[in-house]
Amino acid sequence: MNIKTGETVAIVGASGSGKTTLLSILAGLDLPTSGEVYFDQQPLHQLGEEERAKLRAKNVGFIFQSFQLLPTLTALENVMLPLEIQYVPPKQARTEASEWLKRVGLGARLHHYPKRLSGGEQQRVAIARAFVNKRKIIFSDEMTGNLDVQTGRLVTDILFSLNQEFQTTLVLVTHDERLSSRCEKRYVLNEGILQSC
Amino acid sequence: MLKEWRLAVSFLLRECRAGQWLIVLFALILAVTTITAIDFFTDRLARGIDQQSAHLLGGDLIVSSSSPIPDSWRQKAASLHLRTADVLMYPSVISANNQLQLVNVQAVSKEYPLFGKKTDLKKLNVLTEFRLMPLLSLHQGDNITIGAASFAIQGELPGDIDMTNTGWAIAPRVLMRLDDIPATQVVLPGSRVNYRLLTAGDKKQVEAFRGWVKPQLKADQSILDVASQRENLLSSLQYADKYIQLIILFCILMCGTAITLSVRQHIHRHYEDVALWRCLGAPQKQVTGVFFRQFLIVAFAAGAAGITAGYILQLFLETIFGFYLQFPLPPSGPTPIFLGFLTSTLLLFCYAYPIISVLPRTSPLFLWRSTTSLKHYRQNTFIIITLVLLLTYVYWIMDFSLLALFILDSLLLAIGFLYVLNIFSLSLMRKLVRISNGSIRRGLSQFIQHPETAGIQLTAFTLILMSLLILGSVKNNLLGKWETKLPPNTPNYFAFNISPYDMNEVLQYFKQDKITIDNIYPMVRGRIVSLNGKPILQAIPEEARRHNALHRDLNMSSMLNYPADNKIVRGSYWNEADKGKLMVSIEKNLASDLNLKIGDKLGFQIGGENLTAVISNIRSVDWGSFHPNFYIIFPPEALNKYPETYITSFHLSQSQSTFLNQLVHEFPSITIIDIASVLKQIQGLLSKTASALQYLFMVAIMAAALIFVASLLSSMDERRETYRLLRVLGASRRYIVSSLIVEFSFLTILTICFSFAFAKIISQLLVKIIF
Repeated sequence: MNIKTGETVAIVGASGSGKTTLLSILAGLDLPTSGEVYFDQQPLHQLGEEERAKLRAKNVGFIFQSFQLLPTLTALENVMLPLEIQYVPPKQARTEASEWLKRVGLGARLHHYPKRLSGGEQQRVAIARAFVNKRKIIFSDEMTGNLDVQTGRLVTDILFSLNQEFQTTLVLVTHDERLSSRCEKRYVLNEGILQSC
Repeated sequence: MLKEWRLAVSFLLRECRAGQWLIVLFALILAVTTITAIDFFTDRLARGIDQQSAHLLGGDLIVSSSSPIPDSWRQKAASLHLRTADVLMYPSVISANNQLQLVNVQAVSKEYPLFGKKTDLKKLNVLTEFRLMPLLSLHQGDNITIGAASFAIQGELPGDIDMTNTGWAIAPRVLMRLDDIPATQVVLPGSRVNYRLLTAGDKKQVEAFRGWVKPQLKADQSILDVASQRENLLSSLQYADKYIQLIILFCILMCGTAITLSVRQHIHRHYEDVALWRCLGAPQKQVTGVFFRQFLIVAFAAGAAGITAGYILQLFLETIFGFYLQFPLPPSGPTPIFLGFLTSTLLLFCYAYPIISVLPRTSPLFLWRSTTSLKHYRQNTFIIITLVLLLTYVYWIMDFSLLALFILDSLLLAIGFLYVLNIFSLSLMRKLVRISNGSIRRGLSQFIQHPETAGIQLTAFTLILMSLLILGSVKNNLLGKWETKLPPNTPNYFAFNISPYDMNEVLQYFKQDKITIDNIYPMVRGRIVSLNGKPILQAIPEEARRHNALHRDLNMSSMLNYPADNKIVRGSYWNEADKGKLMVSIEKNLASDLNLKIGDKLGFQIGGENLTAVISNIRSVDWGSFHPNFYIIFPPEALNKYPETYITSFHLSQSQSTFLNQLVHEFPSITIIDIASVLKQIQGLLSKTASALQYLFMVAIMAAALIFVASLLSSMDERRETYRLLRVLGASRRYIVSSLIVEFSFLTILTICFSFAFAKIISQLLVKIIF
């Protein structure tokens, strides 16, 4: 499997086929028992957890099915989080995060806590958080899984338009046929075998 | 460096905003408040004594003696250009307005006081402490009777004049001229009188005098300095001190339990947060750094708030004890502040260590798998280190006392037992679940499904309820001990200094007025000086050398039949044939403290002469009985050649109070001690101490209650999830409520049973061993 810069890739497959495991290996969260993974020519499978964390901090963004927003933080603070972890000065982090939230249409909801946002809004916050650091690659795990069709489509539109604009690489794990069909490359994972289709 | 702190602060502020650190913060503040309030107060007390030592003592160096001070000593002091004054002190009863009052008489030479303004005391005049006047409805110019002489009250003792004994005095003082003593006819050979030579002057000369006089001191003589003052104070505060230690320990325990419960919830709520941070690229080191800094900030904030609250609370303590304090308290030093910060930092790091040891190692995959694969061996090492650290700290805070050791051991044992009982309870519930149904089954299942939560809650609730019960029981025992031991006809007066010539007449006097006396005992004052031929301080173990009984004159008696409340625990009773033999009976605790055994030869110095006697039995004595009692008893006639006086105790009803006036008038040398009023005053002091400590403890109880509610709410996270699912599956509200009632009823019943059982055992042992 070879993913180029700016490409959009979908990985589909039945439940339990190992899609999420593959995604966590590609993202450097987990290590393969066999095989090799390279990111920008760096062998991820040979790096330690701390080195992989550094690499993730600079290059990788995530969008989850259950949004994974911290409930004690406002939308703005949730988006600021990746910047803060990299010690970006608070003022700069605040400005950047609020700009990204405006981009995803949440300019009026900066100071709302996740529980006061709808599912679609929460996922848009998650998208803003994934893009905020100008990451090279974004991994998404069933991002529309918890959303209704209409909201899912809206969120997907936002994701792809940002991808177009910033030439970010997108790797999506999904069941959603419509979502996978929008990607340039599609892979099916079936009984441990990954096939391009 | 700064950016790391900024990150920690900003994360902490967000968590505080969500109410996440509040319980930990509150528990820490409470622990720091309790510890610093007590430390501020005792520190100020100790500083007060240190700073005013010269004033308290009445001189830079004092020689105290139960026999008159030789003239040559005065001359030596004068040749060293030291100023000197003589003081004679003894307890006595004064009468005025048909009332009697125990006082400390202080007869002083004209050079007195060595510091401050001269008193300008006129002949047959006295200065009295301010407390005395309202007690006897006296005013300036009124007359009081001391022994055979009448004195006019010239005025009140100035507040800054020396205290000569301790900072805590029960009986008020009366100051008179030394040359008025003969007129009172109170001081007789063998009377319980303390002679003091006060000296003051250049430090070097004072030290030269000390070097000269020290080798000449006899057994009944000693040098008083700041160290001895401190000891006096500490011994008078002994019970309160232990009670304070107990409160501190339980406070640390309660606050620690609250922190532990809260930390558990904190960790569960933060797994996802940390997993997300890690997913977003935060290295483990960075997460640990954020938590570590947050700890330091929380510890500092709690320390600062607790120290402030502790300072305010000790001001309150000062007003409670103001009546008993005879000197103004100086400002406190920095020690309590240091202790406050140390307490909050150490408590937080010890109880909340899992936040640092567990959370940063959360895998980012937790976001998908919701399981932790933490290696436990490192955590176990962490537990052992923190436990040792915490135990050492608590032990240090409690002055490495036996009480600390006892309580810590008891608590560890209690926790161990609770662990076992918890396993039994769970297996019992598993059986009950099988035979039950409906909401009872659901409520019991909740325990079985969450055994860790149930175990922690049961242990925490039991320990806290147990602590409250122990503290209450010890307090009641402490205050009730004296009262319950006093049947209606318990002697309420002691009469001593009865001269042998007056004895028969005095007995007749009692008989005439139909007043039953307990018994009359001869009394001789002497010191223990040797054991089996060796000087006593060399012959006994090092830890016993500071025993109070070795550094003062003891009241010794001679008799064939011991007082009724004495029981022989080793050895045998004497018989007629033992009369005049050099044998001795020793009080049990003294014998055990000094490691004395039957057959040991004990040497005494009585009135300048030496006497050796063989220990023939060891007795237990009920010191709380209010009958005359003695550490050392000889057979009859063994002490005949020494000057002796007699002592007795008797009960007088209120209507018989005129008897005392007649008695004192008829026999001026007799000293009467009104035990009832002394007892009342001691009880007053103790009850004030207890109520002050009770206030402290009430704060702790309220906090514990609040913390419990919060902790219960925290465990509701798990329950809420289960019951939400049950609701979806169609369970009625009634079913859910009754399941909750069943669950909490079981928890309450088990908590009450276990805590009452443990509290009963521990408090009984405490009272028996420590108090």
